Amino acid sequence: MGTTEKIREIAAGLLRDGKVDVVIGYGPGTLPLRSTPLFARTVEEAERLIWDATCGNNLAVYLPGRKDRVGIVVKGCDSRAVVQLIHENQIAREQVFVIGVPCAGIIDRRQVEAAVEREIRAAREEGAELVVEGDGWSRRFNREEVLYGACRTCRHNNPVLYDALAGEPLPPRDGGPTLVEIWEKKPAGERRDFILSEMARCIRCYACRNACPMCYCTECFVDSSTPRWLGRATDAGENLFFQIGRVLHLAGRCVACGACSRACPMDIKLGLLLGKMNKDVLELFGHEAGLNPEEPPALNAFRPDDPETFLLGK
Amino acid sequence: MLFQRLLDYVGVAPERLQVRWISGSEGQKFAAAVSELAARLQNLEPDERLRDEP
Repeated sequence: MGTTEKIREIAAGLLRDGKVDVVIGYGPGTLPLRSTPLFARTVEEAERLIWDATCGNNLAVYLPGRKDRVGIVVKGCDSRAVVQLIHENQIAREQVFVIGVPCAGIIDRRQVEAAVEREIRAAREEGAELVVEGDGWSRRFNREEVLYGACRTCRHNNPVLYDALAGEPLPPRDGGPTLVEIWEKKPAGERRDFILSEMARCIRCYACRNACPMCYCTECFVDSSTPRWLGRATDAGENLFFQIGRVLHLAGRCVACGACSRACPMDIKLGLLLGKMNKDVLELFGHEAGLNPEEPPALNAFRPDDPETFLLGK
Repeated sequence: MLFQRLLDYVGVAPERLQVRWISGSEGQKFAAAVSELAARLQNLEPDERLRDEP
């Protein structure tokens, strides 16, 4: 049985038995290489759920503050977001039925679109290959080569928390150096110029924030008018200030799902900043967000051996 | 600590940020820390890159 069928079976069972009020999963998108979030409230609606390599959204974004009982389809990274949200008391463990999906990586449709330079009419996966078709042409890609960067270097592709697993666990990946590892080695000036050039393209649509399951504040610092933390202008400096503000707020909380980069209409490599924060939190506090339901988030816990250079001022 | 590392990474000189733990009863220590930071900042050139369009 395929993952799609398995998800449908689990979801239909949950809805039929009244164990949950809604199952949040993925449905087919209106365009090839796209999927859309789908909220199934009846057994019939559960039949429309799908799973494929375009199911990129982190559905945990719909969890904070819910009062009903939900079933939710999660990948490895999404499951970490669910764990983190439970830690942060945004949803109770008893409210959520987690349908885990071992994930082989999500396809970066922009890479595929850029490579074919024509309108894609259909796309399907055939084993390790992705086949895209248009009017009178078709092209095959090696699936691995058109994955998102965050997926290629993903180390947690299997869900860390689940009540039912739709599919067999996959072997852990070893995708080579991450964007941050590459850029940390480069000269500071070059890195700074690259980051500023990326930031200069930001149009401040805040899609990154809205797609992020951890950005659930009802009033975001960027929207506040008293005090006005930052200007509305979209120049590189203000944009950088917005992004580092967001990164700082996600310190020890970001689960590296890459939802922000996927949501970005300008294709800005946000993992460049968030990845750096995640790496530093791991180095300084030995913690990765949402991996362990028992362990509190790094910045929520005090340990006698925490580094505390700011106390002595050295 | 995390913020300082992040600023350093994006190219903002780490000496522009100072974090100290100072109690309400340590007025002198507070004054000294602020004076020290102010003096240090005055010696640095303005960071124009973060103000203007690159």
